[in-house]
Amino acid sequence: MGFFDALFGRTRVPPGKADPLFALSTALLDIEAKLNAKPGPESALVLRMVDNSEYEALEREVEATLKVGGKDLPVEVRSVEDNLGYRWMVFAGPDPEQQLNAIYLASDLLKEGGYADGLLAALFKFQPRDWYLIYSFRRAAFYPFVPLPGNRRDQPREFRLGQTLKAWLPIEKDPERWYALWDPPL
Amino acid sequence: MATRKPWYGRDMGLTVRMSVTMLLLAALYLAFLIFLFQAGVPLPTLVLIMGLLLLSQYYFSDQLVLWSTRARRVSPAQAPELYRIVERLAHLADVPIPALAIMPARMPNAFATGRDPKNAVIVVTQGLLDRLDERELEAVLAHELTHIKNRDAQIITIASFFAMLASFIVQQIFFVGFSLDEGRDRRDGAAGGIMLVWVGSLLVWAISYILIRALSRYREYAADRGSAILTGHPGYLASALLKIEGGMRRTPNTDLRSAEALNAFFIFPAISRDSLMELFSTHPSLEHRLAYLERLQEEMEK
Repeated sequence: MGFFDALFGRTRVPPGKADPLFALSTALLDIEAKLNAKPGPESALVLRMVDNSEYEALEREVEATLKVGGKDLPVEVRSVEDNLGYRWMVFAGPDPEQQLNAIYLASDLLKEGGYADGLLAALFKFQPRDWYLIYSFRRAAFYPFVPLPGNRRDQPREFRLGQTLKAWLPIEKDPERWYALWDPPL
Repeated sequence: MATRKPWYGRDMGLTVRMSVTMLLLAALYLAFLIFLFQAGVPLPTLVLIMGLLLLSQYYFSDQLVLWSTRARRVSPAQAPELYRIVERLAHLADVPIPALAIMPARMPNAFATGRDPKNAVIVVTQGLLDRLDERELEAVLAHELTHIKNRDAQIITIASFFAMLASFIVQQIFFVGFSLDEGRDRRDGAAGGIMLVWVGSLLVWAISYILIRALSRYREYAADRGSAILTGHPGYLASALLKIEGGMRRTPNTDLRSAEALNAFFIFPAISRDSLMELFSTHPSLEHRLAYLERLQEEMEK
């Protein structure tokens, strides 16, 4: 947001960047080996829905494309709307690499349709001792998210994870921007 | 395939109106300074005093406003639902998560304060929480978040600086100046000069008042627009505004009067509709705001 945007009160949501997502595909090996964490069977794309018919059509198109390409991408898609009005596209498949490809493909289709600013985040689950890796499209960076019961976060563990992940992934530098995504449906 | 543009464009009309207003204000203030300088007013001292006053007010604005409205800061543990909404919006708008405070008033309203996005606080009244549903609440929070993102507190503070100086001069001369001047200095020229400064300051104060109000209204449109863009649903804010207006009508008058001084910050002004013309108010009329949101909705469907 530039000086003139603020001066004239122009709201421009920075478009989401998807390319840094692929840093994860190489980092997966390190995460498995050094953090002893396995990617979960599902990962998700979190979207801000827009109130028009074109957007709905586009969403169906994305799902259709992923289903048609099912042979190349052994990934299943389901959509969940959460109680804050955001759409979660959940991708399930045995190969985490393919989940990542599907997320990239879906975000690319939405971007081409003119809804790059609706891309909020991608979320990857790791086991055991569940923790999440969030990719923020706004910030073009990753950060760990470890929710605890009662709306709390395990901040010491997030910090430790962040320190380790830094070697393999672009990690968000400002911990104030490690926005939570509560109650992920995976 | 080429990447398409987002559904919202730029509101050139709004940008132009804002620039014209700001240019007019700048020109007015410049003329005022030259005029004061010509009239031999001790300008550096005055500007320094006002600057310090304004800076301290600006620096402590969040504390002052919270204290004077008896709003109470709440932590994420105390208001998890509210923070969930705000955190997502902040993520989407790419700003730090603002603090939240709840004001124990029955009228439904909200405002944002704080000197910069890092120190921003969004205050909502208990009445707002009671009356709006989750989507409408989100739209109101997105409106306030846009005020924060657009740095409206700073812009209005800067825009008001010389207006404050002018009103200070008007009041000082009116209460102190004339009498002091008569006792100390009986030259005709000096008295005439002071009269001229008084009239000049009064004029600048009056014109800048109207211009600042216009600027404030344009900032409101910009915040409404931001809310529509962030939530993706202009209709949410429209229905929230309607509910807020209905709520303000039903609220007892004493509540309204105690809040009038804070109008510039509120999402909706706490004055009865017919008492002031739109020209003198900080917010556009409900009809105009709804029409604007409707236009945005149409823009989306194109």
